Amino acid sequence: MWSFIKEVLPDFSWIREAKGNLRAESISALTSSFLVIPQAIMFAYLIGLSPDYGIYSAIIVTLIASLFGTSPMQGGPNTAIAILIGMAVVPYAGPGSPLFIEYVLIISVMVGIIQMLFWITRGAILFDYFSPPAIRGIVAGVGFILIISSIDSFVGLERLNSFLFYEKFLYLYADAANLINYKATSIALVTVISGLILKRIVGSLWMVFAILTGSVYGMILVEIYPQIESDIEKLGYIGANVQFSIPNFTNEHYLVAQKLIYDALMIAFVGIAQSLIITKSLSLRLNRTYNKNKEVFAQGLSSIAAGFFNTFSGSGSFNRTNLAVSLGSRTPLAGILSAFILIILIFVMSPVLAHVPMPVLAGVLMLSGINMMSISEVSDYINAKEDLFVFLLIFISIILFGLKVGIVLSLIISAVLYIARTSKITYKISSFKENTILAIRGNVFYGNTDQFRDLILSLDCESVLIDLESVGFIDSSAVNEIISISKANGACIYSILVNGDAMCVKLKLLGLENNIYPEFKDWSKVTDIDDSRKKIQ
Amino acid sequence: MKNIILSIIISVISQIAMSNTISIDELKSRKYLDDYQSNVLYGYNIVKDTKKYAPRYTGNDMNCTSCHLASGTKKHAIPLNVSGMYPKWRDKNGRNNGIALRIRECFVYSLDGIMPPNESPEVLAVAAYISHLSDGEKIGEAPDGRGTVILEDTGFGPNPANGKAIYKNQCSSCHAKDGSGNGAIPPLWGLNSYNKGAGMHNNEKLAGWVWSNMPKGREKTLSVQAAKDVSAYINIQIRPSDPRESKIIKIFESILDLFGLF
Repeated sequence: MWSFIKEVLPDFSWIREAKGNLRAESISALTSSFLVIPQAIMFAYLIGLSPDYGIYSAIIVTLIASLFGTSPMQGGPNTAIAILIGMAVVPYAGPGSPLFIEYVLIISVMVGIIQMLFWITRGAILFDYFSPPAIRGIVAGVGFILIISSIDSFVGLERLNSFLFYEKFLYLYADAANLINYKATSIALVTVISGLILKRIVGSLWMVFAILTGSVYGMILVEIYPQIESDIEKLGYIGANVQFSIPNFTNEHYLVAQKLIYDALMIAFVGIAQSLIITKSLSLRLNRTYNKNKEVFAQGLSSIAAGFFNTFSGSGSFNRTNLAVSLGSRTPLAGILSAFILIILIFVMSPVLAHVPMPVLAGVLMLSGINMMSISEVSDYINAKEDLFVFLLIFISIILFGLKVGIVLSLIISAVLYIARTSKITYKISSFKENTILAIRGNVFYGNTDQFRDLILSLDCESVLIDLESVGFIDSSAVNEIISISKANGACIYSILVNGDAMCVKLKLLGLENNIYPEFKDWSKVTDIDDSRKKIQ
Repeated sequence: MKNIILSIIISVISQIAMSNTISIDELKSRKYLDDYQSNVLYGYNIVKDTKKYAPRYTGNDMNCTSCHLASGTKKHAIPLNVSGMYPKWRDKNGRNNGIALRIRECFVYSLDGIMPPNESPEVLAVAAYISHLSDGEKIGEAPDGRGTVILEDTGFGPNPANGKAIYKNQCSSCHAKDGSGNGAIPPLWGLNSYNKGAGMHNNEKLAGWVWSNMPKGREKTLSVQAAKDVSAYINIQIRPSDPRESKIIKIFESILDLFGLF
C-alpha cells in the first residue's frame, strides 16, 4: 500500500542533484522547448487540430509527466499517438470542429484511465515482453506514415485524411495533379534539402536550422507573391493560454466513447510502451534504476490532465529526451522548466511564427519521417534472420494496411514469439548403469505436452528416469501425459526426479506419488535406483 | 378544387419545414450538438468574438460583428444570410469565389490577419453559421437588405476636414478621439483596425454603412454628405498596409503590436 502512495505523490528526491546541475538542466530545457515547437505544431496537424492544442500538450503533458516521474525523460506530444488519435476520432466529426475536439478530449481521458489501470495492475512488466524488432518496425512504419501524411501539405493541397500511400498517390495523380501549388512545393523542398545537408554539417540541432532556412526562403517568396495570390498557407498566431475545463460528456458522447475504447486501449499501450522504452534506455545510459510503475502513473496522470486542460495525450519523446540527456540533463527539472520556458517562447515568437509558411512544416514532417526510417540498428538484424523477418513484417504491414494493423500484429508476434521461445523444451540424455536419464529444462505445460511425449517415446529403453530438477513449472496435463505413457508402455519404468518439496507435493496431488524421487542431488552416490526408491518410501 | 387544397397543404407543410431552424439561443442551451450544429455555434462565437475564438488568423482588435452588426443579422449592415449568392465572380480578386474564399479574404483584409486555408475549422464554422442564417433565402437571389445602402450622389466630393468636425461631435464619445475604440467598440484606425485592402476602406461603402447604422441609436440622422465626409476622414488615417502590396511590413506591424508601440 505504501508503495502505491509513494508512486502517487511527486518525488522530489532529485532536487539536491538538480541544484548542482542547474546550468545543464536549464540549457537542455531551453533547447528542448525550442525543439518542441515545430513538433507540437506538426503533431496537432497530424490529428487535424490547430497548433495551439499541440502547444498545450507540450506544456501540460511535459509538466505533469516530469513532475510525477523521476527520470529525465521529456514528455509531450508524440507522432504515433497523434496519428492514432486522429484516425480514431475522424469518423465521428470533421477534423478541427468543436465536436471533434470534444472527442479528442474524451479519448485522452480514456487513455489516461486505461494507463492508470495498467499502473494499478502493475502492468509495466508486460512491456518487457514487447519484441524490440517489432518496436523498430513500428518506428520505421510511423516514419513512413509521416512522409505520406506530409505530402498533401508539401504540395500545397488540402488535407486528405488517409495515411495509406496508394490512396494518397491516386488522389494526387487522378484528382489533384493540376492543383499542385509549385510555390508551396518549392518551400517544402528547400526545407527538406537544406535539412538533409545540414544534418551532416551541424550537430543535433540541424532540424532548427532547416526550419530557419525554409522559413527565410518562404517568407521572401511570400513577400514577392502575397498570400492572396500564391495561396501559400501560413501558420497563424499561436497562443499558449492553457485553461482548465471539464470535458463535455453526455449520453451521445458516451455512445461514441464506447466505440473509441479499442483505439484508446491501443493509444494507452503505445504511450506506455514508448515511455518505458525510453526509461529503459535511460537507465542503461545513465546507469541508474527508475521505478517503472511510477513512470506509468505519471503517463496516465498526464493523459487525464491533457483531457482536462483542453489538449490531447502524449508520451515520452525519443529525440527530445536524447537531446536533453546529451546536453547534461539528469533530473526531471529540465522537463518542468521547459514547460514554462515554452509559454514565454510562444508569447515572444508568436508574431514572427505567424508568418512561417506551412510548407516548411510539411518539410519538417517529411524530414523527421526520413530520420525515423533510417534506423542504423537495422543493420544488426541482417545476421539475425528471425528479427529481420519480424521487423520487415511489421514495417510492410504498416505501409500496406496502416498503423493500427501494424500495432496489433506486433503485439500478436511478440506474444507468439514469447510463447514459442518459452514452450520449447530443452533436454539432455545421459545414462546411469542400465537407466537412461532424461534431464529437462524449461517449463512443462499444456502448450508443449506433445513435444514432451514425443521426447519420452523416442527413448527406446526399459527404464527412464525423468529429471525435473531444472523445471520451474509443471501442470496437470503434463503429469497426465506421463501417467498415460507409463500405463501404455508397461515394460518401461518411468521415474521422476524433482527439486523441492513444493513440486513433490504437487506431483503427488496430481497422482504420481509412486515414482517420485525428491532431492536427488548427487548421482554418484546412487548405487541402485530401485533400492533408493524403496528407501525413500 | 382538389388540386388547390392539395397545393395549399403542401405549401403549408413546406413553410413549416423551412422555418424549422434551431435558434442560436437554443443551440447554446443544449448539452450535445452534432457536427453541423456545433460548427454553427462555433461560427456564431467567431463572428461575435473573433479575437477569442479565432485567434490563429486574426490580426487586429475587430470582430466580424463590428461591421456585420447584430452577429450578421441586421439589414443594410452587410448581413451574413448570403449563402445562396455564392459561388459568384468578384472583380476584387478576379476569380470565381466560393463562400470559403470570401470568408478567408475577410480574415486577410478586414481582420488584418492571416489567410486561413480552405479547410480550416474557423472557415468551415463561419460558413456553417452563414448557411444557418441563410435558411429560407432563395438561391441566387439577393436577400432583403443585403450589403450596405448605396447613397445618392450629392454633387460634392467628400470633405475630410468637415468629416473631422463631425467625427468629433458624433463619433468620438464612443470611438475615442484617436479612433482607437473602447472595449466592445471597434477601433476605426490605427494598427488594430482594418487594413487598406478591406472593403470598408472603400469610402462609398463605408459611407453607406455609416449612414444607415451610425451613430448607434440615432441611425440615419446624418446627412448623406456628412456620412461621406466622415468616411473620408476615417479612411485617410493611418492603418495597416494592404497585404497585397507589402509583406515584410506586416511582420514588423505584428511585432510592434506585441510591444504595444502603436
